[in-house]
Amino acid sequence: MSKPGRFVVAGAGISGVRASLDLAETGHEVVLLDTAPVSGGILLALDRQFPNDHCGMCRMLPMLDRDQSKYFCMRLGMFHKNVTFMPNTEIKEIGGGPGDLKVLLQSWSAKVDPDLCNGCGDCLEVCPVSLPDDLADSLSLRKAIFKPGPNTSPSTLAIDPDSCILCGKCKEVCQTGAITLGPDYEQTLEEKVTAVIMATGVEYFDPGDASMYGYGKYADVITSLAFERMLSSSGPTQGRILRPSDGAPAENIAWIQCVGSRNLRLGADHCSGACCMFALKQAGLSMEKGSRPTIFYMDMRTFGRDWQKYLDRASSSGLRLVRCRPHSLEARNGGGLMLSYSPVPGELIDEHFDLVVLSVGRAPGWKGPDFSDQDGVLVTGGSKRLLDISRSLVSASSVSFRAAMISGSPVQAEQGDSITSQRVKVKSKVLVVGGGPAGLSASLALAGQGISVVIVEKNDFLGGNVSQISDAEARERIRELVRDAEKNQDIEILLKSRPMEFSGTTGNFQTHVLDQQNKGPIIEHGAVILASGGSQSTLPASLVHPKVMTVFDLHRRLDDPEIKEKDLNCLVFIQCFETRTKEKNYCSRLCCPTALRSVEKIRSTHPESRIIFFYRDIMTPGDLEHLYTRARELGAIFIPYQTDIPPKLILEKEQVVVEGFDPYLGEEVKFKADLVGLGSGLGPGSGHELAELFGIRVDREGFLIEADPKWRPVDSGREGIFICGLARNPVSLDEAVDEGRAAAQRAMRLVYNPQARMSVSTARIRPALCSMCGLCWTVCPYFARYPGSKGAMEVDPLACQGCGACVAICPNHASVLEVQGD
Amino acid sequence: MTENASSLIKHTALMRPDGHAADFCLGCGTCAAGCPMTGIDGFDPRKIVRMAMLGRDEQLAASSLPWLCTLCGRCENACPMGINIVGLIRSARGLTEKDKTPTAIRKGLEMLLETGNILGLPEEDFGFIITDVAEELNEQPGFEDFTVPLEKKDARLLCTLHNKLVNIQNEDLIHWWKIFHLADESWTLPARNWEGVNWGLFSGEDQVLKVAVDNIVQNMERLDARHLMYPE
Repeated sequence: MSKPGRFVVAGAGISGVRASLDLAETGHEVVLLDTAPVSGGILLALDRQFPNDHCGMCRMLPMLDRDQSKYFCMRLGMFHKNVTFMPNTEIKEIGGGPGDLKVLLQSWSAKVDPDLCNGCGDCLEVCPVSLPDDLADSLSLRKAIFKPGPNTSPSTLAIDPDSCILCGKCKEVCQTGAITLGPDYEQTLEEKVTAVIMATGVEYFDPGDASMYGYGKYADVITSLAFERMLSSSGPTQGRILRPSDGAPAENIAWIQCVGSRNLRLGADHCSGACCMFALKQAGLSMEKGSRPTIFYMDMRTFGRDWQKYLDRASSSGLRLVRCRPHSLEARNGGGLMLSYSPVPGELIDEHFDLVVLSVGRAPGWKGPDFSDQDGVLVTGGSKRLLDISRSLVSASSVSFRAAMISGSPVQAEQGDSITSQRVKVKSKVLVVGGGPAGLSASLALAGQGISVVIVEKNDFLGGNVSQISDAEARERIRELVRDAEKNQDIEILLKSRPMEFSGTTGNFQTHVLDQQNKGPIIEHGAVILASGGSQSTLPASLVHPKVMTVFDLHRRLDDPEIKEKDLNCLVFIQCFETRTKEKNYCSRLCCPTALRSVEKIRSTHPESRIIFFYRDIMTPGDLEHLYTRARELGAIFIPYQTDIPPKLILEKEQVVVEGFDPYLGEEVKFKADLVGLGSGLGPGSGHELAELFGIRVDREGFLIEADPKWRPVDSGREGIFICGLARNPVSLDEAVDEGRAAAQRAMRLVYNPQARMSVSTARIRPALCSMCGLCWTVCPYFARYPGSKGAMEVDPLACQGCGACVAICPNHASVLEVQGD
Repeated sequence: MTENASSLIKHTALMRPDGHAADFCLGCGTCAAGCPMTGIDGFDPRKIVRMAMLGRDEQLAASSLPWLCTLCGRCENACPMGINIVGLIRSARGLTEKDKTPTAIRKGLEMLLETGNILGLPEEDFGFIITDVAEELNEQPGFEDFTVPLEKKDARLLCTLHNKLVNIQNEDLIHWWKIFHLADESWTLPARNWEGVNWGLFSGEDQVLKVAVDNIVQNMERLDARHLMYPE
């Protein structure tokens, strides 16, 4: 075991905070820096997040050894014993190699001393400089001395050096002498670190470039970020939805999607990946405040496991969705705007709206020096691609694990420190259920840190769906994972096996694994990672026909020499086939990209064949949008359909005919197809059984459910049990690998230290008073209760967070909270 | 209906400056929402783009759709995919059989080819109108010595005219001439092929477009003018 590593994390948005906490929780030291005066990044401006309309950022905070961190709202800031936050700082230079990097940091003077400033705000009154507030996206003004975040703590103010005119009025009025207005000074500092993580985030499109929507010209046209501030009770309107032009309540509100994205004219051939959900959330919240929202969209990108359900809820509560892109808008006498749009070919509508919200696209934003090519510098996914919160966090955890691997084996548990708390022995072994890409990447990550792993796999081979994977390169990557796992001495592989009995407490679980002869060992382990995978959905028997197959099978078949040489006059894809319906209400995410990739393959052998897509919403978030654009460029024809009139498949002996309706032509269309690909989706495997065995949550469709869809994406909610990959949600190979590593990172916190530390404050049972009524068991939000063998309930000491719910509900006062030490 | 993939309309539209092929269309309707003709006799730019994508050239060229368009370009200006919609419509017009093009445009084109201007105005009549308007201007104080520099060689500026200025809006000629006179501009007006409106643009017939352009080029060369003023 080696000594702790030291890391620099550049960017203190959610990805940077996640990576920092991951490293800190496994004993490493972190210097977290940001060019801004506060941490939190873009999240400071966002109040609540889909799909649950909560905030919940604090759920990122450590739940094991939690007393190392300060527990309050993360909008105030982030405080962990092992993390040093440096505001107003950036990286100037990086030298050396991995494991031994020399990083030159440069900080500029804060001008307001955080130790002296008490946030009274007297200076705000006297500062003569007013300018649009970035945080509220120009919805309100701020001064040159300002509050950098709505709720940051300490509530230190900051001076914007670009707009300050050095008049000195703030200094005169400051009662604590916190302000220094001397010449700017810069301080440089050299850090010797193991690795650097760049988490520099995204920036938003300036809609001034899309002039037809009148941004900057009409006050009642605002960006989605400004609207977010308008929704916030700490925002410029105190949470009221008002027309900026005259302060009248905004009743009729329009959202225009894809402003600055999905636009070749602007060179933006990408989808922002989160704006559809963002707009749905905003529209939903606006309805709660009495507004009537309308969203103008092209494809409603509710990709993934939960988002379609979120959309359905919003629609059923009165949200209006209009599928088209408005052309332009004009101001109307008496306030508000007139929007022209054409939802149906041949129909033109002018409608009055009080407020128009532009869903502005995002793009990778860092304009500083780029160190990403340097060895030992790792970049989080959220800085390279456009990701939503949970994917950003998964990627940050995956990257932090790779950074930790550079430092070698895990750090030894430190001895003797100021916090007195009891310790619990934990087993330094992790059980991984499922030997597909997610499970393999989790296992390899843990084994790389010296943790022993047992993989339980139901098949007689590793690699999961490898044989079904249509992309040859992806197949090879999985085979490589299999080879690496097979030769790793810290990984034990149990094939044709399944977990049958599970018991124990966090850090000390026992699982009985059985093979096909119902024999097998009882494994003692500290944590478990459930990566049981899933598979492509099978087609109904009524559709069995040699020319009809899933899009995944079709993509693979295109490599067959027989198909390559065959005459293919026409291929038809039907997307969302029997998915995103009542019975199977989720998007599998991979059908669209797979089918779109097929277009390029088809064109390489059949340049003249006709390629038709019937679709509901093409789901190509982020850079996957390139695939959609490319498919159109290659002449594929896309025909949207509504669920009430889906395209019809007519199977005959020799041929398949697909009939549908082209809304642009306003005509029925009919195609004789040589091959038909159905985007029928993916489904989870043994989710329900695993959920029952391990006592965790599962959704109706059988996907395992995480503790929090945004902030704790791979935690099951029961400490010590982690979920990842297709068992949790439809994912690509890259995402499965990332989720596996993120789950490994979460397990690592628990098992790296053979003496895990309990929280200072936990619940205890007084057995003599316990009647085993079980009420505490049902209310415990952390699954930290279980019926003990001695006639009383017991507490899982590492899982307990000391919340006191059990104390409140216990009718016998048998449950008490105890604080250890001082 | 059997769909034919190749489209001459789509292909020739791409030979015009700027813009992407119809194939890129997302069907978002930005074009239709900004089009002054949407909904009139079933007009919708999406339909035209779709027909080109599907290779329905004949059907499109035989329909009234291409001729309903005003060629204003609001669609193209806002199209997020940068599709050359006006180019597509011009290409479709170019494929229309001659006897099916609208009569007014057909007649104007014939005149243009025959006489060098859309009105079919002979050179002699043009000279008469110009002299008449110049005399009218001479009556105003300060313009008593104004003359039109018809067919003047080596002028700095050669001026073309919109046929309306010669036909019904003569007073607009006076505005221009006053400016030239007061600015002491060196300019000229050709006695023939002065037409500044190129109806080949509207008919989609590129060969007519070229004839009209050639007329102007020849004027420039013949009169050795340095700059061309093309008010239309």
